[in-house]
This record gives sequence, C-alpha cells and structure tokens, in this order.
Amino acid sequence: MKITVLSGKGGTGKTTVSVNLALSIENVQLLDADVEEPNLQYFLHPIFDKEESIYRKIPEVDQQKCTSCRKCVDFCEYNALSMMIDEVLVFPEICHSCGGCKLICPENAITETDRELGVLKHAKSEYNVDFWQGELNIGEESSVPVIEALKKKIDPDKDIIIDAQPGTTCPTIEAVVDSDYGLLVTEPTPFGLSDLKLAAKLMDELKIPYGVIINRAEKDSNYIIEDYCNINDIDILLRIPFKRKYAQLYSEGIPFVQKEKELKNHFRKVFKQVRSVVDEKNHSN
Amino acid sequence: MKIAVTAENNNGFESKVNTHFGRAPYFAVVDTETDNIELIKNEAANASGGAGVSAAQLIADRGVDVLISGSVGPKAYTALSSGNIEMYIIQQGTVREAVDSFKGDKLSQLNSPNGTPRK
Amino acid sequence: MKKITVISGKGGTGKTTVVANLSYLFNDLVLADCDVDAPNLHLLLNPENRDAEVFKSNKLAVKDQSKCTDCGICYDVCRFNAVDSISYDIDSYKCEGCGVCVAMCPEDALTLKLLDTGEIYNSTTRFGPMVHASLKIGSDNSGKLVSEVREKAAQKAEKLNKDLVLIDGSPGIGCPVISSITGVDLVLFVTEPSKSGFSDLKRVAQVIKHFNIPALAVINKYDINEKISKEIENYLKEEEIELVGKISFSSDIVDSLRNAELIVEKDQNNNVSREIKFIWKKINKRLKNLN
Repeated sequence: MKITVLSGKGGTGKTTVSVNLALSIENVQLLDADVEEPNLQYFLHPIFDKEESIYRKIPEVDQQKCTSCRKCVDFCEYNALSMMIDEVLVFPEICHSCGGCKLICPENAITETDRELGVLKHAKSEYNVDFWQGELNIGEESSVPVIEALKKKIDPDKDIIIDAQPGTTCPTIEAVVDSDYGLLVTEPTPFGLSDLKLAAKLMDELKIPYGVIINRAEKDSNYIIEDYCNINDIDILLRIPFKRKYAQLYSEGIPFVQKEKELKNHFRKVFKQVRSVVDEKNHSN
Repeated sequence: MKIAVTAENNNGFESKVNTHFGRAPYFAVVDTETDNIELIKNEAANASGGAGVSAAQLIADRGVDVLISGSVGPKAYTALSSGNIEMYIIQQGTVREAVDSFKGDKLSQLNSPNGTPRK
Repeated sequence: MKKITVISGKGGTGKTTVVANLSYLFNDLVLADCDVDAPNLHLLLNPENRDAEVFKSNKLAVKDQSKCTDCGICYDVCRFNAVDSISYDIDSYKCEGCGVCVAMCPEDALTLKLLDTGEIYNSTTRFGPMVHASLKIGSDNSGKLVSEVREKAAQKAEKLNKDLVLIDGSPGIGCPVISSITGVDLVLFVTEPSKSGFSDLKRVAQVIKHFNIPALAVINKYDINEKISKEIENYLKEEEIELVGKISFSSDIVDSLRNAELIVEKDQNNNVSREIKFIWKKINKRLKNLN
C-alpha cells in the first residue's frame, strides 16, 4: 500500500506525520519526495549507505557545424539558447531538457551531455526504517525527474510512506499520483483550512481517496477544519494536540512517538483505517 | 553607436528609466549619430523564464553596442558580454539623462551581474 | 519608494503573520502576496473590491484528432511521459509545453496552446492596495506570476505615491523565491529554531546571497529551543544578516490567527505585540539608513 502525506501549505506538520507514522508500523519504506528541502533526515539521523546521481540532458553545440540559422534559438520555449556574434550560447539552468533543439538542428550540430540534477540517498535509519531521500541540486528548477527516480526505488514488498512537497503544483502531483491514499495534514486556522481545500480539490481531481490529520489541534479551533470536513464527508483520522512539548521535540528532531507511546497506538490506528479504506476500494473495483 | 536604455514607459526621450533589464517594459534604442530614438516593447518580459536571455537577444539583434540599465542578472550578463555589449548602470532619471550621462562619461560600468554592492 | 520581501525558506515559520502585523504598524503601504501557490495574506487582511485578471503563461500541446494518424512519433519524442503509449492522448499535468511533439508531428496535428494558468487580483485593504494571485492547481509555478504580482504592486505604489511595498515572498528555494526578491531594497528572513528550520534558512540564504541585497532576520518561536536560536544567531552574524528581533512562542498568537486578527492591534500589551513592534522600529531604522 502506498500512502502519500501532503498538505496545501508548508509548516502544517507533514514531516511530523510521515516520520511518526513510519515509526509506528512494521515493514515500511519511507521516501522523502520534498526534494527542494528534504527534512525527514533531521528526525531519522540516517547514515547514508547508497548515493545515486540523477541526470538530465543538456545540449552542446558544435560551433564548427553551426551555420547560425537560429532554428534552435527560435524553437526553444525556455530561452535557454541565444545567438551572440555567430555563436550559440547554452544556459543549462533554464534548459528543460526537452531535446527539441537537437532534433530541429538541420546540421546535426547539437549533441547532448549529462548534467546532474539531484541525488537519491539511501539509509537504513536509526529506527530501522528503510529510507530513501531525494535531493534537488540548488539552482535546478524541475523536481519532477528526481521524484520519478525516487519512486522507482519503491519496494513492492513493503508499505510505502511518501512525504510530498507542500502545495499543489507538479512535484506534489508527481509524488501522489499513483498512491493508494493521501493523508492531508492541516492546522486549525484559517490558513490551514484555505490550503486544505486546495489539497482536497487536487485529490478529488486525481480520484485518490484521502483523509485529514489535524496537527496542533485545539478544542477551541478544531471546528474550523471539522465543519468543512463534515459538510464534505471527509474523514478526520487523527488530531495531534497543540503542546509546547511537541514543538520542542520537533525542534530537536525527535519523533514524538519515541517519547509518547500512546501516540504510537494512534498512528497505528490511522494506518489500519487507511488500510480498510484502500482494501474496500480495491475490492469494489 | 546604438545605445539601449531600459525604460518604464513609452515617452520618447522623456521615458523614465526602469532598473531591471530582463523584465523592463520597454527599451529605448538611441542612435547617437542621428539622435534617432525608437521605443521597443520588451517582448521578453512575458517569458516564464530566461527573460534576461531573451531580452539580451532582442537588443543584440538590433545592433545595440551599449546597454544602460539598473541591474542585469547573471545569464543576461553572460549573453550580453558574449555579444560584446557594454553595460552601464543607472538608477533613476529619464532616457535623455541616461544618454547624456553616458556621453559625459558619468556612468559606472557594470563588471559583474547584479552589480549593486551590498549597502 | 522602497521594497521589502519577507521570506522563510520553509513554510510555517510565521512569515505571513509577521507581514500582516507589520502592515498594521506601517499603516500606509502597498502589499504584494507572492505566495501564489497557497496565498494566505488575504485571510488576515480582508481585502475588498477584488478585481481579477486572467493570467496565462503555461503552454500545453493540444491535438487535432482529425489529423492524427496514430503514428506515435509524439510518444517517441516526448521526454516527459506526457503522451499515452496507446491512445497518444496528452496528459495535461505532465506536458511541459516544450513544443517538440508539435515540431515533429508529420501531420501538423499538434499545436501549443497558451493556458489559463491563474488569476491576479487587485484589491484594497485597510492599509493600502494589495496585489495577490492564485495559481491553478497543477500549474507550474515558474516565478512568472510572482513577477507579475510584483510589477503591478510597484506600479500601484508609483501611481499612488506610496513609500513602501511589502512583499510576502514565496516559500522554498527555487525560481518563485528569486522572483520575489530581485530588485528589492531589503530582505527579511523569518525563521524558527528547529533543525529543519535552520537548515532551510541556510539553503535559502545561500541561494539569494549573490543578489547582494541587505538582509535582516527574525527568529520566531525562539524560546522553543534557545540552543538552536543561539546557533542561528551566530550564523546570522557570520553571514552579516542583522537580527532585528525575536518573537516568543505563544498561544496568544495562535488565538489571534484562529480569529483572523492582528495581535498588534488586538492586544498591544502582549509580549508578542511588543516584540513585533520592536522589529518594526528596527526595520524602519534600516530603511532610513539605506539612502
């Protein structure tokens, strides 16, 4: 079963949920798909034992063969090529690696070289969780190829938890698109609600079942999220209370379930609930 | 020679100078020999990315020798340097003032991208 | 006219809350919400008279089925897995609008279409005009919408003779953040004393370092972990980023958020209000020294 943890907004507690859920169940693989700022490592203290570079292709122009026809410059949608005094300049950072310039050059003057886009790192973490981290190199724009590569590391014999990038843009979609279930993490504030709605809309469009976890829950504010979920028939699977102690543990990179065994049971229960929803869906298909 | 000045608006020599190169709304291209001025809309400003590169291509294609602007990003800087286009800095004023200051040797040259030093 | 962008690297550090409370203290300014992916500033500032403008920037390959002969060349050349291997339909989430299939299709059955990518809003708040936007779900946030929001806010400020544009910046470390800060006079980091928060602060500070813009910082919820707060202070000193204040962790600010209120307005004697006011004074001082 593949569960993706997401949130419309950053800072709601996605990392908290991913880590604590992974530590509460057995036979689990945890993937950090928040490749711009992978943070699970601060809670898992991984000793990385494998590292793989992810590459993308960048054009290289043979200036001798080039006749300055400019077809490549005019074709490129990203302004990654320019022609200055009969020489074609390539700007790798904004190149999208579509391969178009190479195909369009009438003189076959363009070849491609590899450029490192990011890395995948593996660790068997401190808590015996099988962990893969995706990292996008600074200056690179596109997270999606790193996330695609990360997903190829999925162990089909394990239950998978994927920590996605916050928001609802392409990198988040790539992380969740072939999952069985989405755990939407939110906080009981107008910000949390506003961004939860975006995430819920995305999940509806992708037709993937989902439920909500309220982090920093408080008796007086939970209604902000609860009312919305009730009206829209969305399950609230867990409420993690607002506690100064939790904020301190978080700041130190200590997973809550390590200090509060009771919470482990709650996360196990969440997992079971998700399992039954997914099983039912697969059964009725 | 031909000088391009990044401009806010389309008002001939009285156009206000705009400080950032890639997404400036207009370029005022001035021929110093004839004092002829042409205000071109910067189509590059609409680009999602690489606006600076596209803007550099735009002015290079017009045979511009000198660019006067407030700041130039790293990619645009590389492109303009490759095109042997010299870059000078101006922060405010009109196109007329920019050209006159340039002619009077009053402007500092840009030697690296985003040249304004930290204050 | 001066421009300040507030950024955080990581989400959830309190960036938007700080921007909203500073708006109250500045009182007369132009606001720009550049967090176009998940805009929040409007929830605290209640803008009115919203004037919406469609924003188009992403392109998508569109097929004229009547011309398609199912040759599959589009599938062969697409680098983004955006063409279905059987139906040759285009997946709109995966398509990056690169134009390769359009150029290679022997039947001219494909074109690149400019899509509605989002909306830009021009509104008014109690403290002045506000420009904000929202990106359609699944759209690519290239930073262009951020640039548009900034441009419109700057134009508004020029037109109405306002002295300050305050920008709620994009989270993360990519193009949207860079678009949030190019050409501004000051950058204000809002960070929190956690391992991940500190790591993200370092990443985003590194990314924007070469833009040479004077930088200030605020440590929010500093008393959650005074040890890490101190580490951050040392880091800021090394990087020549001025620490302009620290805000304590308080359930009062959470209460005010829940009610969509500004703590500096509702409870001026609260510690947090005082801390924010102190920060505001320091920012003002730095603004004056810029000339």
